[in-house]
Parts: sequence; structure tokens; C-alpha cells
Amino acid sequence: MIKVKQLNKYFGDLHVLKNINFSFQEGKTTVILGSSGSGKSTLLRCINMLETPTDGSIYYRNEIIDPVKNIKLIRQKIGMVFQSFNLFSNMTVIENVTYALKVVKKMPNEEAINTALVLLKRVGISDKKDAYPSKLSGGQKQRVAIARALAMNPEVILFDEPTSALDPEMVSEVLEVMKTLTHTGLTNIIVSHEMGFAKEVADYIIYMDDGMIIEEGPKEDFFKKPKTKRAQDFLQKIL
Amino acid sequence: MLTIFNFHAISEWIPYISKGVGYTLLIALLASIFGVVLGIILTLMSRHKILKKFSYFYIDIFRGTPVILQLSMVYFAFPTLINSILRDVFFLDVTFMLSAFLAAIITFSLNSGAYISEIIRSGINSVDKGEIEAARALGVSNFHIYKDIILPIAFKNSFPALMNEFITLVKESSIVSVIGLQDLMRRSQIVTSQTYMYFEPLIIVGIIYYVVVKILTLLSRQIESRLQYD
Repeated sequence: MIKVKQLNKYFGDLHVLKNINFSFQEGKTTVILGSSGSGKSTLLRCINMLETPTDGSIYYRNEIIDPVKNIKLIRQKIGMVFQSFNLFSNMTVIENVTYALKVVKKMPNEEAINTALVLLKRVGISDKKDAYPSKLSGGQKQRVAIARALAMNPEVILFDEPTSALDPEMVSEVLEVMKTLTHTGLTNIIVSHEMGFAKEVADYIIYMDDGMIIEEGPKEDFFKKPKTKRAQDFLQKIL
Repeated sequence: MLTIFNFHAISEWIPYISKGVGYTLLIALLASIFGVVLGIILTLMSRHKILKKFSYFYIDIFRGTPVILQLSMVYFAFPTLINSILRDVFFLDVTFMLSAFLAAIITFSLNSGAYISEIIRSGINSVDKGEIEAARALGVSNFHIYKDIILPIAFKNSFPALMNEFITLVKESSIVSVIGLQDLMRRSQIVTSQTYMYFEPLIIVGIIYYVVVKILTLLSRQIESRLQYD
């Protein structure tokens, strides 16, 4: 569904992604693992062109993603959930969810609100619909952010360390919501440090180190018998 | 008997002095409106490759020189320059004149534009990059990102500084007395020349300034608390 070909990314002289090749499968959940600085967030951000690749290309359903020509349309199909939530601070919860529906999809107000209410209920936060983000806990903010991404009815959702900025007691409420999104036909690509969660929901694992994909494979293979020494060391440290 | 404050003598002049507050407020108000327009233009220019040099130069000059110099330039030097050009280059027998009021508005607009541009710039920089990214990731256009996210948040964040600039204008506009505009300060000088009282008119003017600034400060706090998103 999303195909990454010969992708390279430099930040100045720093080579952060080194010749990445990978295909993300439709309807599957892929978890990208790796220590900090391994390039996993950058890879995720290249998919929707929040970072422009230095070299190489990314295909969405066999269509090359271009940072100018088709990016707006493709971004409507690829939702994103951020580590620091990034809710619009000048809008209430419901406005956050309806905003892109109204200005991007040109949906009439009433329809947008109905769509948003259904989603807010789904992530369990309808009672806060008129609150501003500053009044929400981290876990609540992230659930709103998930509802905002879902509102666009995307085919893919990118999760960039969605629980890393949360207090430990709030991690599970977000993971619970994310769990409901797997096996629904939605393609999930998740950068995460939550090993237990990865073990539970992932179909596929990518392990990255030093800007390269060191190992990839179905979850069972990766966790039971990692092929490479680096992945074995990583798992030993984490588990 | 020592009289420190001769209220009886000054009281008949109070209505005359008070009329100056109109000039003071009008100059501050018009200058801040034009200043905001100019400030936005300068901020937009500072995002352009070539025009930004002009924007920086402009801000540098207006922040680097005293207002009284700028006012004298606009009121005394500039019309003289225009007149010599009209006479010696175009051989025209006309005289270009600028009223003191217009000169004051022009000077304070040009001056506050430089300061307001800095305020707007830092307001825009204060908007969380993450929120902008989130909007981009949803496919929102740059126009809408500016209109619905960056500008409202930047305005809210820079409102206290904008209000502060307005209050500064109210006080600094007292300099227009040097070009003879009958604002509060000038009126107190006129009263002094008529009555030989120094202390009383200045105290009256001081009280008027203080009350006006106090009202504006309280008003701005009111609006500020209403602008909070919570």
C-alpha cells in the first residue's frame, strides 16, 4: 500500500535515513522499533512529507507522493497522531475534530459535528466536547487527536510515539483506543517504545538502528528468534 | 501661609486642560491602527528574500532614533525639503504644508509600525510548530493555517504587548507639544505662561495621564482574560 524506495534523508551532514526500502501492507499494523536517534520518526514523517526526503521516493497505492503536486490529497488519506498531541489550542475538542472536515473536505457544519460526536464517543471523551485542550489530561488530548485523525476517514494512520509524552497511568487508555483500530481494515504504522503493546497488536515489526532497517518480519519471528545480533541485543535490553 | 497646591486658582483651567486628552487619545488610536497595518506589512516583507532587507533597515532606523527627532524631521525638515524640490527642480510656485496634527499622526504611525512589527513577529514565532504540523498533516492549506491557527493564536499571544504599545503611545504622544499641538502637555505649558503656576497644571495633567493609563490597563486585562482559551 505504501512503498518506500531507496529513501535517503540528510539533516545537514547528518545521514539519518540510509537507503530505506520497505512496503507497508494494507490493513496491517506495522510497529517500527529502535532506540532514540535511529531514524524511525523521520521515516514516519517522510511518508506524509512533513520531512522532505533528500533522495528516493515513496508510493501511495502506486502513485508517487510528491511534496507539491498531490500531497494535500494524500494527506487526507493518511492521518497522523503525534507524540505531543498537537491539538489546536485555540479550538475546543469538537472544533479540533470538525475543523479539517469543514475546511478540507468542505463538509457542512451539521454533518461534521455529527461525525465528530460519533468519533468522540468512540474514543470515550464526548463529555469533554466543549472543553479547550488546555483543560484536558495528556491521555484525553491524545484520544482527541486520534478522533481528529479518524474524522477524515483515512486509510492509513501514522502514530509517532503516541504514548511517550504521557504519564504512565494514562498510557493504557490511549493504547486501548489504538487497539480498537487494528483489524478494522485501517493500515496502522506505529513508532513506539511500548514493547508489550507491539507484541500484542503488531502484525509486522521493523527494527531500525543508525538510520537503517536492520530487521523486519512478522511479529512472531521478530520476538521469538531475531536474526541479527543488534536486534537480539535490543530485545534483551528492553524486555 | 504656604500654599502648595492652589486648587482655587487652577480649578477654572481644568476644563481647558482636559480638552487636550482628545488629541492625546486620537493620536494614540490612529497611530496604533496605522501602526498595526504597517507592522503587518513589515512582518510580511521580512519573510521575503529581498524585501526583508528593507524591513530590517526600517525597523532599525525607527527603533534606533528618538521620537522627537522623527517628529521634527516630519514636521520641520520634510516639508522644507519638499518645498525646495518643488521650487528648484520643478520650478513650481506652490508651498507644501503639513499640519501639526497630521505630522504627529504620520510620525507616531511610522514609529509604532516598527515596534508593532516586532511584536507581531514574535507572536507568530510563539505559535507551537506542532499545531501547524498537525494542520498540514490533515491536508489544510497554508492560507487556512494562517487564517485559522497562526493569526488567532499569534494575536492572543501578542495582545498584552500590543496593548502595552498603545499605552506607551498615549504617554509618548506628549512630545507633540514641541510642534505646538494642543495636547495635555502643551495646555499645561500654556496655563503656566498665563498664570505663572508650574506645579498645579502639571499635577492636573499628571492625574489625567495616570487615570487614562489606569483605565486602559484595566481594560486590557479584562480583554486578555477573555482571550484565554480555557
